[in-house]
Amino acid sequence: MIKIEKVTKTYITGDQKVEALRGVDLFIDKGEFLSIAGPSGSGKTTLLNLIGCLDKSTSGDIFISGENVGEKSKNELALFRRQKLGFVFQTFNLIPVLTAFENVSFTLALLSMNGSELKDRTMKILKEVGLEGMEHRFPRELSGGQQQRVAIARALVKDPDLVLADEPTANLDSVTGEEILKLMENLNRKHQTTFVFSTHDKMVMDHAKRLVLLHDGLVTKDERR
Amino acid sequence: MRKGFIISLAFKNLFRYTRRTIITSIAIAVGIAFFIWIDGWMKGIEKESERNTIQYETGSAQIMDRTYWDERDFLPLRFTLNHPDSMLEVLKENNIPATKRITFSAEVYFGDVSKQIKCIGINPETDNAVFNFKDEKVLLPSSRYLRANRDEIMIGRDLAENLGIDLDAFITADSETGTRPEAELKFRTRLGAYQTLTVKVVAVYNTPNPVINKAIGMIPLDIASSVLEMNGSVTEIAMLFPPWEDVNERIKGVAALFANTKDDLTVMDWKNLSGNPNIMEGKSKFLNIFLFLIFVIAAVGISNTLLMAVFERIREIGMMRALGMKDSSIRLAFLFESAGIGLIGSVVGLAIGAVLNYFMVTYGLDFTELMGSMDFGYRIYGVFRATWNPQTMVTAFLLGIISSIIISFLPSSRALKMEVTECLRYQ
Ligand SMILES: Nc1ncnc2c1ncn2[C@@H]1O[C@H](COP(=O)(O)OP(=O)(O)OP(=O)(O)O)[C@@H](O)[C@H]1O
Ligand SMILES: [Mg+2]
Repeated sequence: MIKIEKVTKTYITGDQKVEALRGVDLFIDKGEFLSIAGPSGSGKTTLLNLIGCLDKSTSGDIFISGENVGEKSKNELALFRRQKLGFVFQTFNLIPVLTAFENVSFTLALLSMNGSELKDRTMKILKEVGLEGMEHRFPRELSGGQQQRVAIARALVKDPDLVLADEPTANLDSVTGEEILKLMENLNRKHQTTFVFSTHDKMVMDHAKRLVLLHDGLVTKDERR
Repeated sequence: MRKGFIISLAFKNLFRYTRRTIITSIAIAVGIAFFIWIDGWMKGIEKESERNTIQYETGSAQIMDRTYWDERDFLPLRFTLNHPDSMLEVLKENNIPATKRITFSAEVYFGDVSKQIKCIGINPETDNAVFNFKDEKVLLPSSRYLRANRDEIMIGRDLAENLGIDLDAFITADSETGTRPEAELKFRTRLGAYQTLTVKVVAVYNTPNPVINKAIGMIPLDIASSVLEMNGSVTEIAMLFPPWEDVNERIKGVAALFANTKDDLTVMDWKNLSGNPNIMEGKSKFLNIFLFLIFVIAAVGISNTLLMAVFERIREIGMMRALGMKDSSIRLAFLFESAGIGLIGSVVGLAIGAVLNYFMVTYGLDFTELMGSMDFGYRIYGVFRATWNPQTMVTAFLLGIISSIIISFLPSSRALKMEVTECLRYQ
């Protein structure tokens, strides 16, 4: 479902060159629950951004659902993200002026959905992430864990092919982090949605069904359990 | 993405930084209110000046000999209208109020004091059809309007004061039986001979037109005609048009009426006759500067506010772009947000401007103390009243909103120029 072939990414700032990825090969199947781990600066965010079609690789190809995303234009990539990808961020990134409900349905509004379909799908997913009854709360009225639940609901409500999460638990305490991870696991099992998330937290790695270790821009270990 | 969703998002963001929104819209409101206020004021001055020029100085338009017009600075009595009565007949048939006048220059003496004035022979029976000197509010107490065929004069209050006429005595004496001051007029006749005429001051007028109060005297037309040896001719025929009609159209119509006469005539409107048509130009220049100022206020205020908003929300914008929201939709959201600030500012500005203008219309501002009888070209005294000008209000209102919309492109472009990944990493 995701095929990554000899992908490199070099950042050039002024006369400094940083080789963030130096030839990554990876195949990710549908429904996987995969963690990309590695020390700081190893290239986790860079790799997730490439898979998430937020950035372009310097060389190599990435295929998602059979499409070579490197060949797409910026607008095509935006459309692709809108339809097929879900994102969860380390800092939640909810819109503070919108309620939990509105933050989630925002994704559906982007797809021009409205009316009862929008409402039903939003309420259903909010219930699944355990936020029933809190749909009218604003982000500031929710705890960090609850905010991340909203973010997960926002990523999943459109039933994407793939959910990408860059250090989704890094801003949470370990207990809440584990709850979030269990929630993601459940959703992965139930919806068969592919999850790819990065972390350098041992506990998080333990939950992953497949662990890919990055070091200095190269995959050093790839194990399934 | 639906517009309704974008609008509601923009609206919510508008109240996210309530204080900033309020401050920015107040800046816009103040600009717009001032613009409406000043414009109403200037329009008021202009309107009143127009009214005072027409009612006391020129009428709506005048017919005169073309050469007389060309050499009007010398008031040449040789170039006159020779058949005024038949012309008045024609005007009457066309329902145009009109009166004939003889304008000549004279020196007026009162005791040792003398002043150069413009003296006008008016027809006491018909002059009031065009001009407004019979008005009780215009004539000082114990004045009596001119009567035909008598050696008498009406003069302006400022002229009377300058000549040293005792106005307190004048207004308390009886108009028929009391003693009236006597003045002497010295002038040259049509044929160039020097003449003197002793006249009784029967009326002193205080019009709202400073020029008329200062340097004009009026005597009965028939007296003027005989002492000047005019032989039935006059220097001009003044007409009054309804104020709602286009003066230029009427002038064309009048000119057509007399196109077949062998005299070379010209018809001039009050603007040309009073000789200050470029006051308007200065006014519109001033207002344009003001409009530009509003634009700058809106530009600086809004772009500053929005830029702050953009940088505070840069990760949020990154998130929305990551989720696949189109750049054009994000731009539109900022556009609506900006338009919202502009709308609040414009509505408040319009309201404040209207209230200010209301007071200027009803009470006016009195600058008499400050300016005295300073002459600045307008035919009014120092009390300024405004008029209503809906067109300006609409212009100011739209300008507030439109400039806000245009300006919103600047900050949103700043955000959209950054890569999505850059936005997401932004601290
Ligand atoms: N936009 C950029 N411009 C220049 N260099 C960059 C940029 N983004 C990342 N890098 C560099 O690329 C390398 C990989 O960065 P990346 O953010 O992918 O690491 P990471 O594994 O996500 O680290 P962390 O655990 O700290 O988030 C680092 O050396 C980093 O400094
Ligand atoms: Mg990272």
